[in-house]
Amino acid sequence: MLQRDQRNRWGLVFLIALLVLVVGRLVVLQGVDGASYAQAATNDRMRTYPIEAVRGEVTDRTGKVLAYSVDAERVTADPSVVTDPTRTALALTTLLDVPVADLVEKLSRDGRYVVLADQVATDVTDQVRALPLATRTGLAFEDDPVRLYPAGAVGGQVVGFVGKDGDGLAGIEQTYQDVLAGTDGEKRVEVDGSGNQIPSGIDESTPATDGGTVQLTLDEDLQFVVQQRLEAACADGDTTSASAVVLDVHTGEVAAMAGCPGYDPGHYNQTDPDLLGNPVVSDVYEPGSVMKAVTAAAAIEEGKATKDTVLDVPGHIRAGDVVVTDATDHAVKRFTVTGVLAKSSNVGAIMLAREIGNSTLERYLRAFGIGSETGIELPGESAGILEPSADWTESRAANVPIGQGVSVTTLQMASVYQTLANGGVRIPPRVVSSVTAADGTVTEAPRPAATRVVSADTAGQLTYMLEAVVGKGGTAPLGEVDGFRVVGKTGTAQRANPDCGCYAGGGYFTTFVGYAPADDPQYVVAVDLERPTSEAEGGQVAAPVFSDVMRYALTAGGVVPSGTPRPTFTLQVD
Amino acid sequence: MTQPARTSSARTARTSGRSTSRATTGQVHVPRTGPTRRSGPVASGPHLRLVPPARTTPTRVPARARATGRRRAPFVVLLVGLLVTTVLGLLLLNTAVAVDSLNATQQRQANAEQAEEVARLEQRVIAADTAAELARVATAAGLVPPGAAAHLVLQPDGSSVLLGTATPAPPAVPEPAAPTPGD
Repeated sequence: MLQRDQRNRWGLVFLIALLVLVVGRLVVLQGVDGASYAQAATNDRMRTYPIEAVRGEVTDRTGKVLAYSVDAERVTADPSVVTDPTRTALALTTLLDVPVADLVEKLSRDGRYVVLADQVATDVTDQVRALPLATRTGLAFEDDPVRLYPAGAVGGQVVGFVGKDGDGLAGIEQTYQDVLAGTDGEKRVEVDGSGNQIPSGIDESTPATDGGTVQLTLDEDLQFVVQQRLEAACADGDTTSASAVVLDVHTGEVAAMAGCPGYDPGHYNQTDPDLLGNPVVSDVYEPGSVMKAVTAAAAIEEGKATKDTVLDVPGHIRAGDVVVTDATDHAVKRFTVTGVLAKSSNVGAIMLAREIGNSTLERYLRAFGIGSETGIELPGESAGILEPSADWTESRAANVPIGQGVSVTTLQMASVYQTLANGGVRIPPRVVSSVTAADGTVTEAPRPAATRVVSADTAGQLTYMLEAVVGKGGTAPLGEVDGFRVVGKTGTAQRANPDCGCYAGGGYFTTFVGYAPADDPQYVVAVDLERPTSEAEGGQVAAPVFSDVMRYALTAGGVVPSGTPRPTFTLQVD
Repeated sequence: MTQPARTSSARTARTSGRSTSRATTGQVHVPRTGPTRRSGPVASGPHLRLVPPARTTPTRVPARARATGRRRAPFVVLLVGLLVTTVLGLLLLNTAVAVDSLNATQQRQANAEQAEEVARLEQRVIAADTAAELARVATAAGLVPPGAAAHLVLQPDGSSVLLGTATPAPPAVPEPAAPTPGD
């Protein structure tokens, strides 16, 4: 009896211990680990899919689309599932535009994932999906949006391009990557055992925020004309490269900007990588005589001269160990300052520079933006090269006033003339007008601060003098535009010969920069041509390009022709 | 089990009472009837009849059960009805959700197809709206770039001044004649 009681007692203890164990485990499962198990169960039922944000557009000033994205797909395959690689390849070759041999090779590999074609249009992938089951077995499709540049090469150097991963690699696409890319979202939903979304299940999707639209200040029509004209110039047999930019005088906005040779952003990978930049902002050159406008402006602003000041200008002048001559050596001529510019006298410009001194000239050059970046919203901008005046040798001091020994970008040179055309007020050039977010919020691009460089009177005198360049007796009669009074300056600068590091045999950079109408300037146009094998001057080859571009800009812009006659200029006195 | 037995004894007594007055006076002890019967036929005296022992309740329990069943039947029917209704409701609801889901999928698909079509059309419009394409089409149509334009500018006194010189556009460059076969 005692043994039986004892056995019962031990049994009871065992049962209680078992109960405690079970209850304890239950507490752990439900109380301690319950949340994590519930979360794990939920996670097991949840599927997450990425939602790609649509990259924003790039448009011109009128809203014409220069870059946009459309849906496309990447066609992939699992070779282990493809039953007949040859049959599948034959069915796909025309649709995907991939050779049969390539497709067969990919579809016969050992792996389980091969990419057959990227960025295939959805109407094409629809046709692939419609193929017989036996043919399309093993094929799969992934989102792979494609970036389109409908204008092709027009504006291509400004717009830039995106790489295969969709990130901007050049131009506005690069600078405004964050704005254009938007923010990807994700679709996180509860699915059933077959992977289908449960209609009333958990839906924790986060929508994608599409990229914003970047509106440029470019005018696509004008851009087209500029590029057409540059291409014609580059096809003349002597011009190896050319650049041009058109600025709005009153805002500094870039209406057109192009270099030749250019490239089509849609086919950037078929272009020489050296040509994938934007030469207008990144390539520097010695501008030559167009820089004389800065020298003259500094002299007038400093009170050392006026447009009518007469200088006794010899045909050559010694500067240290070099002798600088005019285009042709001549006896002393009594040029007015207007005549110095109109005849593009090197000696006269050097005489003016010596009147104001090197440091003053450097100060004005920097005030006009030489030697520093303009801050335009484009990557790869060069500041140009302007050494401190303290380091100038005598020869350098004689070269800088005439645009040698100093390097600029085409955009910087255009900005100098924008300052003169705008009454002496410089507005750094900009190419972005506004950014429109996906929700429609428009943000105007910040306007750069305007700075006065010279007085309105000085700018007015420069405008008067530079009009003489295009007039009778000037160096650029080919820069005229019918019905409009044109202001401008030619430049023919020696080009450094890369073979010897000297000027000999290097050819010339021919330049023309000007604005119109003279009585109410609206546009600035700067053109420069690199001509390594030609002796032609800026007035002969760059001025006609300027004229054509300016004519279109004025006509298309609805600018009323000049209502006043050209003044009569006194270039030289006896 | 004791109560039904007593009930059975009472009922037996009442039944017996119909044939004997004694039955009304006292209880009949059932086991005693045995010896009486075994004593042989009796022409007179109380007529006793062997009543089978009260062993079960069948004669009384079914009646109460029927009554209880009658009381429970509506409840059971209600439960069954609710169950069936719920199942059918769930089935209908599930079917409706599935149909809606299918419709939604079809609508989404149709929407996507329409969006693709819109995108394709927009793509064509954008491509046809570029300066290069417009220039090509205009040239093909025989148009030429304009010449210099003149502007009539109204003066404050109402007169007008012609600014600029209107010049006719240069003639279009004729397309080279297509070579004829045999040329």
